Amino acid sequence: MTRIKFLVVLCTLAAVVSSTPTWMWIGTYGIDNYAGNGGGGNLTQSIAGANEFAAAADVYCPLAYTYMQKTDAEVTFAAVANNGTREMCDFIYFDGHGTDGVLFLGYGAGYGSVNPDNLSMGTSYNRWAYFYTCLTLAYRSSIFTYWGGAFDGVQTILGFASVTWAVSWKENIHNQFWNDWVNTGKAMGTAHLDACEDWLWDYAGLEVDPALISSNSTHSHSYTQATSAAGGSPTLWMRRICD
Amino acid sequence: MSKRFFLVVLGAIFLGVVGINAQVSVAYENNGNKDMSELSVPDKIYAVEVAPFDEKDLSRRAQALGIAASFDVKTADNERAKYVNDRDQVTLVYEKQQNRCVYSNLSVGPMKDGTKDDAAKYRKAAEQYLAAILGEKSRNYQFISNSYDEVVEKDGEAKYIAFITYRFVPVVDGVPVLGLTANAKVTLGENGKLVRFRSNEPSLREYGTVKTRVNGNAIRKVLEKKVNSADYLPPTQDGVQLKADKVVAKGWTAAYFEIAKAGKRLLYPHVSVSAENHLAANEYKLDSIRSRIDLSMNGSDWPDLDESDISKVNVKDK
Repeated sequence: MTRIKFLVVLCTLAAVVSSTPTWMWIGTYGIDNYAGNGGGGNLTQSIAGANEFAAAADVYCPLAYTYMQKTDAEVTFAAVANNGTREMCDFIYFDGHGTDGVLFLGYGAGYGSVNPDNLSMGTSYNRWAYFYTCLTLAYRSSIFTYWGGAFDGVQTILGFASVTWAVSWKENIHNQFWNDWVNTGKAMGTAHLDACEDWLWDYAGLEVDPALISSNSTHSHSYTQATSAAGGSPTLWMRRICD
Repeated sequence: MSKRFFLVVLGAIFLGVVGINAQVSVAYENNGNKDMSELSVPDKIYAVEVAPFDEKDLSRRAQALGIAASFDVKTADNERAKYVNDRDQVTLVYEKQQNRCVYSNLSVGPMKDGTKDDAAKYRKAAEQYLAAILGEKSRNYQFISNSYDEVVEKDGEAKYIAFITYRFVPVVDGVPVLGLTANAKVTLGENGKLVRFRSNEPSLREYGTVKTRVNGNAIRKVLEKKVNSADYLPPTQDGVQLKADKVVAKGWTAAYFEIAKAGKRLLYPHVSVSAENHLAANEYKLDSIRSRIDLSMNGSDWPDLDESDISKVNVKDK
């Protein structure tokens, strides 16, 4: 092969690579050992839940790539609040304790609670977040004022307005969520609400109110639509299953 | 030791014993259902199997929805058959191994200022969509409940219902199939238009029979045992074990529910109880939480029916 032919092939390859869709980088946080973070009640299913979320993304989403997996003592306030490493991820998942409007990392110095202003998601690449925690998205009268500080480009935050359950089969919820979002044409938020309804209520008979705050009124972002949602008008959605 | 001190110590011991052995009481609110002693529970067991994929039926469903001609792309592989119309944001997917059908139309918007009262208003429309999609099969389905997507758009504004979902389940031997095994859900948005449909539609094959004993006393005994078991409610995501002071059985029905047994998916006859759990003091300050308690007609669940009896005498693998 002449040098010219080689360069032509190389340029063609470069063109193909440059047209490949953007990867969806996944970042997960899972805390089981709260004692190691200064206390807060140990859990048993959170790291598994985080790993299963990343694994489900890998199976069902052709763009997914696990970029960051932090567990237990690595899940510090600095690691969860806005920072460059976290912002490299398109989608972050947190599995652990939550209370009304915050994520809880432990009582120790350097851990504590992370509120929406601390989160400030989307300043670089964060587009989606999923908090498998109790009550983080609980309804409050000024919910958009409260959550406004989190929406710096992130499109949708998934979670629960109620308590949720530490089940050993979260992978079923995660698999259905990813499959439905990527393969069946469901809106992202709907895929979350449906997966929680199907598994936690239909399958296990446990009351739960899955919820999401979305930067637009349809929460219909495609998994390939990794654009900043800055300037959107957030909407809170809650699925009332037991009524 | 003074008499008063003796009585105080005795009282403390008594309360301690009561506390240690405290059982959760079950109160019964019949809500017009039949008395439990009259419940008729079927004896058959079914194996849950993958149904053969029917391409013609999927095509018929697409036509019934009035969208067959509008699809831009139709693909099929070993996993799923899929119709897509990107222009109108409509997708119809059939996942072959799971026997799941999912229809999604993102162009239909939410109800404006919807309320729970709209559930009754649009019920007929939901049944018509079910009939159009499932065809003849829909006659065997019964409505069981609604769920609601509640939305808030601005601080200070009221919540409203954006979408209403109607849950339907198939009826087998006169009782509903509960759980995730087989069901159909119709979700309606603006002006009662179809936004989503999803269903699980496996094949059911007769597998054997199980001897059932469902007099009221047996059901009550099993229910009490269940609500007092350690794993009745799983821990919350915060590791909190919610403890019920009292469980109120709000309603009950004979039902089919899937269990895993000997590596098979089996649809077993159950008694399904809708429960309201009144909670002891907890960090969430929750007064109550609802759950469904499924009592299987399975030897391990019933006090006077042991597993070996069922497997040797009553269950016959066909």
